[in-house]
Amino acid sequence: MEPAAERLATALARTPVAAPRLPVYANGSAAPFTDVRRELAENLLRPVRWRETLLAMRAAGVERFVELGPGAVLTALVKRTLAAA
Amino acid sequence: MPSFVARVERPDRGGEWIAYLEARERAASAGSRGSGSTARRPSAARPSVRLLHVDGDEDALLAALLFEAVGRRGGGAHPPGALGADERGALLADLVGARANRRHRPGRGFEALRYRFEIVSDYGAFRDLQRHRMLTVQWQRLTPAPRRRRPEEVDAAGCGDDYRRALDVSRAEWERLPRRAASARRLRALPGLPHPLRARPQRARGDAADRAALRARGPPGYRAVAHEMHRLIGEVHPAVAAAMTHVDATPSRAWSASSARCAPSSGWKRSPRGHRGADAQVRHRRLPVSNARNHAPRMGCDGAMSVSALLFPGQGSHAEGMEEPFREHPLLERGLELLGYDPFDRLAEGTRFQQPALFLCSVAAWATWRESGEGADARPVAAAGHSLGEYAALVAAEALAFDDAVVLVDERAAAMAHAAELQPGGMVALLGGDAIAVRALALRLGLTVANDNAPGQVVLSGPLEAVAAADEAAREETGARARRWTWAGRSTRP
Repeated sequence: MEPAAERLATALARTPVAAPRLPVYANGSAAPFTDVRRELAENLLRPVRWRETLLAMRAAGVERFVELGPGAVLTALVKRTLAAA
Repeated sequence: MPSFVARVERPDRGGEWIAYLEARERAASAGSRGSGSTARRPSAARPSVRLLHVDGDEDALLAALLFEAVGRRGGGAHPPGALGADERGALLADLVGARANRRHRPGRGFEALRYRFEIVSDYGAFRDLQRHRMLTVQWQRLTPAPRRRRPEEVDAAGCGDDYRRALDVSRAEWERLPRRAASARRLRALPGLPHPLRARPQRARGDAADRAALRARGPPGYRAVAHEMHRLIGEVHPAVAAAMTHVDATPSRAWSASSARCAPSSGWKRSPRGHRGADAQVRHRRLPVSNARNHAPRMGCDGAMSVSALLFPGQGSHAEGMEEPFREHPLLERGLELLGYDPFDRLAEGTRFQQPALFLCSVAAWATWRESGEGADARPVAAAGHSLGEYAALVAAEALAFDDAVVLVDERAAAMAHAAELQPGGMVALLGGDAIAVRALALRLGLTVANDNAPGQVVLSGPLEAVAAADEAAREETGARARRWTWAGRSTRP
């Protein structure tokens, strides 16, 4: 996936990015994005730390998770992760 | 961003064009009064289709289809001798070939035939006809005139009163509009008037029978219109209708709130969905209006705003038909326009199209959720997306503009599909088992932990042989169930 990450980085370099209006957690760090362009490209090569992402959001005070999009995969992962926490 | 090009203010810009349109409109309305014709009110709740005019016959079609093959001047100007109905049908079937879908086009010879239909349908069916470019369209003014009959589905969903109120509001607003501003095009752009618009009799022109490719998917209104067009073509040109072998002639399915398709498709939809029982109930209660599902460890008391996080799914959550609830959403339409292709038709081709398709649906689901007020009691304080879902999350947080994100996702999909071709790999999901033993297995085989999804749900990726080895050894070494797939499009992590 390295060539893909490079190509994506090139595309990102010419994309305007604004400061997020609310924290968006990045897959690679399980913490809010700090450098959107760099992290989006890197995330192609890094593990998706989804379990830790959910735990971090929960620790930050999130009481409810809303899955927006097709399917219910993430809803199941929330239940599984928070049930075990 | 500095602007290098300034727009010069010119008050008369566009004035000539508007004057021309107005003159045309005046002449048309004077003409229609003179001829004594009045706009007919759509009378039935069902769509109606009339075939008004036909140009060309089957012999002319055969001649035109043979034109390119004949190879001499004037070739194809005349039909190939006198043929019986059976012979004509057989020859046409050969020339058309086995069409599996609307992209198998039998050639421009079909432009020898033209049909002009008058179609009255609901707005959803109309938009589908328009979006699939089946027809060129002339349309009459749209109004929020109510249907005689409320769709049963609306009552079944318990929204009958809301529906009626929305129509009343729409009509009141519409009546306040100055006459000219109420032209169809403007009206479409008004956010307060979304669905229940009723297309007054529209005249649609079938440029070519070839274009009348009838699609198997879609709400019943659209299917009913397409089927009726097919039947009417069959009455005048039986061989042409018979040659449309790709038509799915099964009657329309009932389209109700519960039938929005979320069928498990493939890949990892089947596997890492650990405990089915708990979430199955949530899944089947899905409404097409919004895909939002709330999972609460609810802490706030009832009625209070709950501190919420928005989650956006990644690849693997896609499913055939997932765009149906969002067909007419402006964001989805805009996305399709930017992409220049329809990714929903090509989901089976892998990651290249699954990524943009899923992205568009997720953003549309988010927008619908907000617009519908369904999320009124949620106070979003964070967002996250799984893999591809990050892009939808960043759009929701306004870090990325929607248009830019569409372009990025398209590029990401192309780059990843290409990389997967260069270096084929695979993935294996390990469900359950001992977490430490799973990591040890990955280390031993040189696999990477691609996703740490939840306790007992880890996905490993790497070269095909190593993935196969992990699949075999998993049960014994870790106690986990393994599920494996190749990257050739299906998934995408390193």
